[in-house]
Amino acid sequence: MRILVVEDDLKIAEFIQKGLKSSGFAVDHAPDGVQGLEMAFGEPYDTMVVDIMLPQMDGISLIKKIREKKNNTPIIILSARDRVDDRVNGLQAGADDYLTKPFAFSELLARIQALIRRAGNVTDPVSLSYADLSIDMLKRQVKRENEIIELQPLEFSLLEYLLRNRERVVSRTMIMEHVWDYNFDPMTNVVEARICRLRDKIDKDFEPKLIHTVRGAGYVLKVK
Amino acid sequence: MIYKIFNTIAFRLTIWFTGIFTVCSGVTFILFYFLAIQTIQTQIDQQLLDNASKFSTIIRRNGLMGARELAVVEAQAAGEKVIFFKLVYPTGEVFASSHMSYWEHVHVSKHVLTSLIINKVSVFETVPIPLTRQKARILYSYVAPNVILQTGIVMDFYSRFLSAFKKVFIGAMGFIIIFSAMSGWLLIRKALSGVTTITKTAQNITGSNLEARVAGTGNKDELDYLAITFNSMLDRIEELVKSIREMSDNIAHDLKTPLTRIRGFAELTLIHEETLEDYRIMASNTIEESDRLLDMINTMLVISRAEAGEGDFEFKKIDLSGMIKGACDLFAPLAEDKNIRFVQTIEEQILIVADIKMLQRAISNLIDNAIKYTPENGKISILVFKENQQVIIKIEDTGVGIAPEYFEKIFERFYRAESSRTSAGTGLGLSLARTIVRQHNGDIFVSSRQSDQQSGKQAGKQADRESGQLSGQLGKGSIFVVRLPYNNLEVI
Repeated sequence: MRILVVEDDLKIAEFIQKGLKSSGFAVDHAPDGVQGLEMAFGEPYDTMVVDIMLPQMDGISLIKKIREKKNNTPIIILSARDRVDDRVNGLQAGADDYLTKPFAFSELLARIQALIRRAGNVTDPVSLSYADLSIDMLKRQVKRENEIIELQPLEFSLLEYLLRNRERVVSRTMIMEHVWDYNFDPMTNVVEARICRLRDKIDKDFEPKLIHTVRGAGYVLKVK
Repeated sequence: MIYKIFNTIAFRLTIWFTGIFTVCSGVTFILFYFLAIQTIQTQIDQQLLDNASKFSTIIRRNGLMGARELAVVEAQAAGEKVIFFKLVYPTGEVFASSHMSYWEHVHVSKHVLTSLIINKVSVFETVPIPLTRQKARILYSYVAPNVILQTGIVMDFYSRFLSAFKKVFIGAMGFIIIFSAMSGWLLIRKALSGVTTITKTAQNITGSNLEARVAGTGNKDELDYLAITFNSMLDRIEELVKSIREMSDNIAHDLKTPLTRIRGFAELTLIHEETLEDYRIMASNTIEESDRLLDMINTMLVISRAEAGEGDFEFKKIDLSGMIKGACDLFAPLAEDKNIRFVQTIEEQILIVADIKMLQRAISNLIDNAIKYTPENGKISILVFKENQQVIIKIEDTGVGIAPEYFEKIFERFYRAESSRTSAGTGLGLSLARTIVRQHNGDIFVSSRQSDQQSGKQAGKQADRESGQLSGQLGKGSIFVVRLPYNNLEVI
């Protein structure tokens, strides 16, 4: 998987490159719009991460030019501009997603993976499993070591989200957005409280422990 | 400079003042002039008539000879230049007269005589005396059958009065114009001096010096009211500037604190700690603090944009009941952890037009606030119902409560009791909630279950000193009431 990052702030570009590389992506970097355009047509990319405020050519024009040439590479905009108008402009220009700065790296990663998955037309699986944990999406049933665990609907959604993003850190904001459909983090630990309850049911009587807290970053479902 | 004076209200008013004064006195003088002339003429006419009646009496008593003598004697007595008498037959033939050398050019007027003969009514006539600048008043009157008396008096007094009057008139008018212009200018300048004072005060007002005030005259006139209004406007501005200053101090404080923590922690880790785990803790601490900062900045942006009418609100038809139930579900575990009873009485299917994400934030903040300030084993009840085209959302807790003097303050940005500044929270939650609700044409009020205001205040002050809480008495609880218009389904 190859990703093009068009970003003029070198420090930000550096940590995005570093993060994506450690997640197994090949990453190229373009520091301005014109170079970004050249590189976009020079090589096939799986995803592009584009800033709006760029020297030479701004991100919106860059995206429009790419789309004019019938290039359908998934594009995610990364910008400090957070108004609804800005989002609408970006998406109308042809971007597939919009993330505002500052952002959690785990969220950028999750969004990039979602875009790649969507582009590959992967259908939602009927069941998901990890280690000895499995959930049946149709019966909404959770099992560990073949033992059925009763979960409340919200707890089920939370576990499903963690499982879909297994071995990947998900932030509190991402959980709020995907499980509760809230677009803000109430700062109070509503997520932590819910995770504690889920852990009681999933991890308390079983080994290995699956749900882990990554301090400051969020939560991850994996075998440590 | 001169151009400037022409433009002043004082100058224009002085012109008006002088003009009106001059016209009024002119009219007065003219009226007086006509009245005086009328009076003088009446007096002269009366004198002529008196003389005529004297002649008729003498003729009746002594015959025409007596009249002839009387004419000479009377004229001599009054002065032959002043008065004359002529006795005339209706034919116009003069048969007797006083000494006429001064009056030789004054003749008997034929047509006056004719009109007298026809009408039998005495006739007066004013004629100039040729070769002099004087006028004479002449009377034609029957003093006996077939005897007509023509008598005249020099209107000497009349002319003297006229010329004296002219002198007085010119002098007086000159004085009036100058006096009224000067007094008008001074009076108007004095009256408008209040305006000048206000202008000077306004010029002295700057961002850093808002303390200047206009001295009121105390005589309750328009300018005094202007001064009072101006001063109260300055009071409001000063208050606003003060609150903006306070707010920016608070912002600076609230932004500096997490930055200090981030910086301090990072520095300490660099200097002292060596294990990877230490760095991991430092990094996660940095993320947490940054998230808090970011949240604060974003919330501030939402509030200020909404207040400026530029909020990114997206109004749609939403199920308010479902949304509030969701929010309750979200916070239920937190209430459970504190063993707080969480009672929900939510009317089903309340559909309104609103921005669901924004209302979620507002309601979450209120529930969060209730849980934060309710002690363990307390109770929080949430009531949602329709009433008079309004949707009422009532959030009651059994927490520390709020003293009445803080009912407004708690909705101000960054307001927290001074000593509770260090505690968690941005101090923006309630402010944001109110801003959001107001954007939906609703409002939020708070009250405390404390019914006795006086003891509430005292308790509040005491609690303030002791714990820095905005509390009444412990366990009294506060009630937040959100009112949203219900009839706005047709808005979009």
